[in-house]
Amino acid sequence: MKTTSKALLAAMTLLSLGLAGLAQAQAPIAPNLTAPEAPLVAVDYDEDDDEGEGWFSHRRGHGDHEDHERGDHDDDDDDDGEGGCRGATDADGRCQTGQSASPPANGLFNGAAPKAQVN
Amino acid sequence: MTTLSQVLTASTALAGALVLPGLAEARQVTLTTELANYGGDGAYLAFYVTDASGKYMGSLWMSGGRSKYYRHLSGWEQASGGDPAEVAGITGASVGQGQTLTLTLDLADSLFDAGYVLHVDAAVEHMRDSPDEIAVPLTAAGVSAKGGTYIAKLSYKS
Repeated sequence: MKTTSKALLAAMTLLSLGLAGLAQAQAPIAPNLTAPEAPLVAVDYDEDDDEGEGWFSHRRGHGDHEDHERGDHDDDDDDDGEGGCRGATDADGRCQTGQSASPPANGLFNGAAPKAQVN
Repeated sequence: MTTLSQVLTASTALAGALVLPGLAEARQVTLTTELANYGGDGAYLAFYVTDASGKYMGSLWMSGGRSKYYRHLSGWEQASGGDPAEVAGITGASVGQGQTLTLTLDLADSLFDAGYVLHVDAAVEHMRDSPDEIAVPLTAAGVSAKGGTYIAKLSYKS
């Protein structure tokens, strides 16, 4: 009986030492774990805050306004779907934002302003 | 009298020399961009030109009137410095999926067959930005090319 107890004690000691050694051996592995890569798709482009209302939203004096219904990216609070320009477009498809109707003098144009049409 | 005739002849020749090269250098280009059905809102598109070495020469058109979103057209932004003045007077509305944008451009003839490249960047709300979605050489013969994510097809002819 005494011999059995000694053998049992020795076995338990060996087991404890083994477990401690295993834990020590595994410890350095943890810092090598790398975080998963960030998703490629950026969800919220909004510059104003993190409310998640999205790319084309903006703040107004009367509160956080959201105007990005499909096809209507304008600022004029209506849902007329002209999209993309702060105001209306002229007959040649250019935004009417008070900017010059002539093209920039970048050497690419021959003088006449471009015309645009969306169908 | 002879002197007057000579002066008139010289003046006419000088005026012609100044005006005609300008007319000869003009090239009317019709640029057609067909958007794919990508399942999102209207696309912002930037059309710009670089030389053969990749140096930015200027912008031809910007579809999308709100300059705060131009940073999503990252190829254009990097090339141009992101200055909205680069597209002053050449900005139109964003273009919806499945729609076709037709631009009529009066361009300098020296841009064609000289190594210049037409680039198109695209960006759509809540979707991935697509810088340099299309890059094609400017040639007198014209070009037709398929896009990547948002543009189904781009073509131009002069």
